Amino acid sequence: MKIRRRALTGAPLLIAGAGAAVAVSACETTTGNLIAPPQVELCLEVEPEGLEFPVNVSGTRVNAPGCEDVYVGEHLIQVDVEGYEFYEALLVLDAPTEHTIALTPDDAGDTGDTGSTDSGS
Amino acid sequence: MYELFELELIGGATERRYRTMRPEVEAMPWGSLAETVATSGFAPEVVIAARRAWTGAAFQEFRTGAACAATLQALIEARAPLDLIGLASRFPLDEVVHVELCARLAGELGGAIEWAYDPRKLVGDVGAGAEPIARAAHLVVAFFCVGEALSIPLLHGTWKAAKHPLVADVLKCIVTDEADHGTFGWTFLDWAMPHLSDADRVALGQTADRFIASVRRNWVALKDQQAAPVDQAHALGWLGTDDYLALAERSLARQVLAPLRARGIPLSAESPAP
Repeated sequence: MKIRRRALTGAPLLIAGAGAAVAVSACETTTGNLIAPPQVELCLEVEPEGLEFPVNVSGTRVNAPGCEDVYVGEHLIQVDVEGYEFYEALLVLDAPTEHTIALTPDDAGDTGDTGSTDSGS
Repeated sequence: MYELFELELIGGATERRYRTMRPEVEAMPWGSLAETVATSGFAPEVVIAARRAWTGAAFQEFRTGAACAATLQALIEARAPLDLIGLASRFPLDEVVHVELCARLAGELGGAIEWAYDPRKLVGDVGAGAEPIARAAHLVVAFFCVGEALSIPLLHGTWKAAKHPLVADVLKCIVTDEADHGTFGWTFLDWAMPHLSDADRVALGQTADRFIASVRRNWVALKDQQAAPVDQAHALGWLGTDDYLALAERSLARQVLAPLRARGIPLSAESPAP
């Protein structure tokens, strides 16, 4: 999905912070909702087994392997571990989800593919 | 094509004229929420949740502004009573002010989250193809008799729960404006009903059902799911999930379903009697 960002020429009033969190509106709901959004459990597994490393989940650092409560919606998963290729995946979470982060050693060659898009199922 | 929801002011003389229309906005204690967040040690995920909530609120008010403008055009096309049109002509400005208030709260919390939307789907096709009065009635039912009527008690409850003075001021301003919006819907319907056929009423019921179902889907998603701790939620401007859902169900029954049925608009079995 492409998202267009128009350059603002006036005084900024509302500016999105990069990586803070992402939401996509389907424009279906009719009322304002001043309530914290619901959370779901995201469990991160790792490959190769035995590795432990920090994961950037939409700007928040969590540990993998492990489980965290995150807000429903899209989350960008990023892993930067020395000795492995940079890993990136976009998850769309609306239910408890298990996601496996499969890291590729640097010496496996640069395939040019540094990430994936996952439905979160 | 989706666009990122970001906003700007043109400034200068235009902003000064805008400020004179709603001077109470600048009188609010801006900066105080940012100071609270900086000194109160809220968990980062709670602040992110608050940024999401207020970005979402700004977007909902933005959409409501578009809905009010579309309804206003439909009222004119329907040659509705001039005083009613005049009253409704203020609503888009109210919503623009609410957008600014919510956006500035998000800014005090660290800025918006990345919120993408399709600008072509802000209002949708409510009442498309209907005769002018019926089309206006569809828009009013969707956006005022369901949307605004339901949001008023929920916003009021959130205002009463709000602990921070700036958040409370913002919610008070929004609630005060929205009270007019809610009563407007029923006043319009009472005028329009004699001009509508039985088929029109059935179609209006279907529009109401569609929007009520949309609201209910949100509630189902909220049930049994954990939100931020209630104390922190109240401090940053929202209700806890249980409080919200209980109030929402009561509000739907009393403020939406009962008045629609009282006006002879048939609702589906999924919209239970209060």
